[in-house]
Amino acid sequence: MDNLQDILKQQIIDALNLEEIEISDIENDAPLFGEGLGLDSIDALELIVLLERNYGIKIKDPAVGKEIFKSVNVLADYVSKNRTK
Amino acid sequence: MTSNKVYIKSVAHISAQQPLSDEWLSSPVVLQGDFVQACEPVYKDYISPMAARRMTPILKRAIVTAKAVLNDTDVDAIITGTGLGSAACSEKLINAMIEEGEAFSMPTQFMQSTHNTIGSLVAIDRKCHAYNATYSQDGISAECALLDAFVQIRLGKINNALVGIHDELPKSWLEVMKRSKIIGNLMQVPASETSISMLLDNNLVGSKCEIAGIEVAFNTSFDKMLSSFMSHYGLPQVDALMMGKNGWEDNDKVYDELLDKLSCVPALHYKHISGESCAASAFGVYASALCLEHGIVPATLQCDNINCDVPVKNILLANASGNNKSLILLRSCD
Repeated sequence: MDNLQDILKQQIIDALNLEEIEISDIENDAPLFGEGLGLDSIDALELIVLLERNYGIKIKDPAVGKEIFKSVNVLADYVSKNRTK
Repeated sequence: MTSNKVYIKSVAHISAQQPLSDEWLSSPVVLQGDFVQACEPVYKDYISPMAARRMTPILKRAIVTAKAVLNDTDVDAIITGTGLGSAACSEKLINAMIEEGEAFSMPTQFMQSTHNTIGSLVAIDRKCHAYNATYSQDGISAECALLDAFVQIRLGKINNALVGIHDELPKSWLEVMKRSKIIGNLMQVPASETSISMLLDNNLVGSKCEIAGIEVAFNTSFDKMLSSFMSHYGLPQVDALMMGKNGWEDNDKVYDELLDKLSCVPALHYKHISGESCAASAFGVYASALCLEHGIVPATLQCDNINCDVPVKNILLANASGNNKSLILLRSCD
């Protein structure tokens, strides 16, 4: 596990208790919400906390949240450009 | 055949004994140590992993026991009794806030840190929009929840109700009880966790037993309660007395006056089987319902190994929890 995508996948699995899912089950371009992983609005809140806790990124604009959680690739790109820790 | 009588139609448990099974009647798990965790079933057989991912153990137990008793039955009410509710979740939330200096929130733990979470989640799972209430009255939460369902069915307001009694043991609570020597010293049974769901119904067909009367009271003696119970429900015939003794002298001595009054009937107990918790008295109700359904009292429930040779048709349950007390009369359907 040597790239940000895989690190994020593991953090998502841990934060959301996705016990039955492994890193290899999550496609980098697959949508996290709705069809893909099937996450919901409470998961979105947990992911916002995850970004703040692990990367110092505060998501204040809901539109930004909606955009960056589209897929692991989009999320990794945003994290690499905006992380403060 | 409906009536204004109240019957226990089905019961399911997840406790220190074999989960979702009556196997303990013939071969009970022997409880050892100060604390015995509930014996969990394989949850993914009952709940999808995605649905279960945010559920704490107490929530999974409530959902699974509710599923086991209801199958496809729709209910007119969901009534929950829980002494500590989702305290384990609150504990996790507060500990995280202390460790992280209140910098980060924990959305899931925050949302689930109420006593009502259990009944609400069961209602969401069942898609049930009917009456939903939660009672939190320490060790008589079960009786309060049962009393609500009992009164509403007797009055004809509802035909049936899912009554769930659920308690788990948060680490901090366990520590406090150990430090106060109540667990591991004074009590002679281990602390444990109990989740029991019951379907109460006004239809006799297929029922385990009838609930003939319930009385709860605060700061009074069993002697006075028995008089009040008789005035409400008539002079009940009692074939056996099921007590919530846990081996702690201060707790157990309050049952003496009942034992004196009912000295001619067999005395029964169950907390060596269930362990002690705020929900333990529900296990007494469940155990008594099984005795009445099968017409026998297994040796494991009998105090002092006194044989119950006479057929048992009426069991009076007595439970004391601090200054709270309860009496429940269960009657055979035969």
